[in-house]
Amino acid sequence: MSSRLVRWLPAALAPVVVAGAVAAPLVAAAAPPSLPDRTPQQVLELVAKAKSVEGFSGTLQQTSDLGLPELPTTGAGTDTDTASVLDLLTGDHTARVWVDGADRSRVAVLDDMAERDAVRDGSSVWLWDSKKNTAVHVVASGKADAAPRTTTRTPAEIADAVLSEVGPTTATTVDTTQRVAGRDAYTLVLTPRTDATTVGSVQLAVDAATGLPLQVEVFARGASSPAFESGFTSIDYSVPAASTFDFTPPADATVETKTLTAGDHERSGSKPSGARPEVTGSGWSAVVEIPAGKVPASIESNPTYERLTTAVDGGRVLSTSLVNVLRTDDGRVLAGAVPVSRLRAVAAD
Amino acid sequence: MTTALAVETRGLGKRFGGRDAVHDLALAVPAGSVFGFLGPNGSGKTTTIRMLLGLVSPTAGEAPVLGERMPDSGRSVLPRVGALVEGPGFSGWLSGPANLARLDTADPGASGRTRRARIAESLERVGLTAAGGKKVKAYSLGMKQRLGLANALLRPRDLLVLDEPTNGLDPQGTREVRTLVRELAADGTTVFVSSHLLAEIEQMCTHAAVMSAGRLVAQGTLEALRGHEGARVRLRTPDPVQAVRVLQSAGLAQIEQEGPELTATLGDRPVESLVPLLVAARVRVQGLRVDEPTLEERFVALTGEGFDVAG
Amino acid sequence: MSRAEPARRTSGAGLALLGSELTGVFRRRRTWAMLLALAAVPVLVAVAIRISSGDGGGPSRGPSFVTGIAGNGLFVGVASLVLAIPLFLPLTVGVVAGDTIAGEASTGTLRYLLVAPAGRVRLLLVKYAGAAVFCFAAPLAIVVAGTAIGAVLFPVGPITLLSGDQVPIAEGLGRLLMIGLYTGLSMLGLAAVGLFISTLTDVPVGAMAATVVIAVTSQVLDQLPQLDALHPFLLTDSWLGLVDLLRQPPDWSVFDTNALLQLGWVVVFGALAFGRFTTRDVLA
Repeated sequence: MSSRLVRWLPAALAPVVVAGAVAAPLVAAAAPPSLPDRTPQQVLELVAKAKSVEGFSGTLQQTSDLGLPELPTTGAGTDTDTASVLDLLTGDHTARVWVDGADRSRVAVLDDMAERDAVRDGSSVWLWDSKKNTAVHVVASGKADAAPRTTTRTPAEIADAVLSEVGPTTATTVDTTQRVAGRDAYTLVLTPRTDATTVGSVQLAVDAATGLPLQVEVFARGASSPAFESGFTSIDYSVPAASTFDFTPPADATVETKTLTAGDHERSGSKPSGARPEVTGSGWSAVVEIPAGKVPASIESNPTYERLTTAVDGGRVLSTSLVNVLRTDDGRVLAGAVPVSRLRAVAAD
Repeated sequence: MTTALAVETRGLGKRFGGRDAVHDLALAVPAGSVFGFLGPNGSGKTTTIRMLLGLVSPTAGEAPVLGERMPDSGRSVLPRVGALVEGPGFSGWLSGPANLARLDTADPGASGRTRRARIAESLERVGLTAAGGKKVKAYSLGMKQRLGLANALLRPRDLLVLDEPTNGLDPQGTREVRTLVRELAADGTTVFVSSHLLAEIEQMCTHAAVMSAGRLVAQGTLEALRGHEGARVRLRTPDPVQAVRVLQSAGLAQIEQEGPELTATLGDRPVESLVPLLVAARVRVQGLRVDEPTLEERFVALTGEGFDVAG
Repeated sequence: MSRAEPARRTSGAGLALLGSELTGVFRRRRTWAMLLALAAVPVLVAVAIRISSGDGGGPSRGPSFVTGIAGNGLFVGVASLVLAIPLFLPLTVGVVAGDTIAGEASTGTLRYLLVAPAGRVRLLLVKYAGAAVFCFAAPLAIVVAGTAIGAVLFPVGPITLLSGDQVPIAEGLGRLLMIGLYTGLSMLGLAAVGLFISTLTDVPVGAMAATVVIAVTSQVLDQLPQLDALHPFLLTDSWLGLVDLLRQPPDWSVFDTNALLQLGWVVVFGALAFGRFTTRDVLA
């Protein structure tokens, strides 16, 4: 009989071995790596230094838990445009990212059986959507250079500038180290100095070796798990092949070309709107107000509108753990990382 | 090497869910014998055979086969054992020779070079050469049975375990199997045959064992099993009174008289010694014969059950 | 004196048994019927699209694979594979894997193989290897048949990947092959589950059905957002990961992920099958 029991031994051990193999990297990742202590100033200097990273590629994972009701993101009846925008913000996504220097990059959002790409090579940007089989070619003309201004400031100067800029509103601290995408990282914690915001803290994981921010987590006030999280699950600091940034749309795709001139490239993604939104307050508790008429009224007829919003005195509210949006009965839209009560107070002013 | 006993089980037992299928079995199968394994259905014959072949592991005792313990020594024992267990089992979508090739390949010690020749020889031995390339699903039960025998004969064996070998065979086939078994035994192979056909066992076997309800109730040579102690002498005489006296003085027991007929249990007294005594006592003998019990009577006496006699 | 040949181990005896097992599997009409049925999937897809493409169906209907077919016949194989992965493919793998031991038991060949003696561990390994070969043959049948019928019915040209990039035909065919292999790899875990279930019973149909039910259940669980944390460990979680091979540059890491996942399932269920099969009483 005992020899029979011995034969079952592998079956008893196999799950343990497999569970161990699964858990070992998780446990290893959970242990904070030992790194020399750094002040927030030094970590920010590290981040500023990250500009010297020549290129990298990696996989980015974004998850958000905003407390929204589950939305059907596919299937009949969904307004695909609204759904996809909403989905990009609120859904869970995996993207692959390639970066070569400051002016060549590619982001591929991996969808089920589909992919959306943004390929930038200098002043040319391709936006590709495999589901729709469409490609949009955005070309910046003249001075309109999509690249951010190159600064000649030293990392230390940049860190100083950032600290003095955020200082009055935000406490900056360095928390325990962590491992992200297999790399040792410092954790920079930004905590709002005001109670008038829904944001509890923002945590940034900074690669200890390269200074590249590897992960951003936004915590709602009082929450222990992040409401929004975006971070690398793997990263490789070798410069991607040049062909990665070389995009030619397929022959049968619908191709649209847009030329941007100097003034408007910053707003290329949004719909043209005349009046600028009004901002009340500053820092974490700022509230953005879009005047009536600038938001298409058709939004009310969208079936998801009813499901997402709740009625309050004087309008309807879209409420998430981080951001609240109030649409007043007179058609204005107010939004901010603030409690609904503050939105209503601003609306009433 | 072959031990004096080809199979020797000690205290062998198997429990299935709290019920003893086989209990405290001590089989002794002499090497070179043709050993009949008898018992009514459900008496534990097949379970015993499966334990001998390592298909079922015993819950008690041990089962040395060809001197090595089963099921642990299956690797070295089983290549020397040819078996036909509970009817033939073949893949219907393969031809007979392909099935044999598959089973032969499963034996790591079987040579691939001689496989084709051994299969042909084995098929010829059971008279299946003509069936050749037909798929097994087109075989009759008797042909499958022959193919099963051919499988058992693929290599020279020291022990053949044949479970109901004549099942499904016509009288001609049955005779062929009997001849085959005798040939194999003459070559020195030990043959272990289970059967419910008593006549078959009587014709083929030198030894036999009888199972009943999971227990061994008798085993030994066929002669010993029939048992001479049970033989009765039957005497017909016009002088029954004197005859009874003679038989009594000769020490015979259970003397019964019915008119001119006398019967008595012979015991160990040789029957030929009776006649001079009767003649000396001036008993006129009209007829004298000895009734030996048949194996069937013996079997019924042992198992308390009827038997499916050959028809 | 022993008359039997000494039981010497001929080298490569395991390979010979594997060869015999493969002959057994692939000489069966049932195996070919299943492969033909799988190959019929792309044929149906291609013919249906060829007939309906005259209607000018909008480009937004169905996954882009299917719409891509009319433009490029090389997509037929992949599109059909994606269609077959949820049910057809696991069905055939379930039939072969569920049949491994239970099928031998039901025909009575199991006892003869063991008495031969095949050795229980050796038989289990050979049986699994046979099923594993089928795991690769099945998706490759779809891919090959799909590519062939696609080339006949539709124009063939450089393949447009999900990323919008185009690769030349030769590289595209290479990708198709890798996708077939990836899917074969995906089926190995299921085959191990089927092997284990097959050791539990003498009724092959029961083992086949149970195996398929597990594949379907796993896919249902994979759809439940409440079980998010469980998803990466589900048998079927990586099945549709093949799309990552249609991106540019191909994300080869899905192969590693899938291989590890399948390895985990093979180890656990292989060990269970070993425990069960080496201790079981063979009564069939």
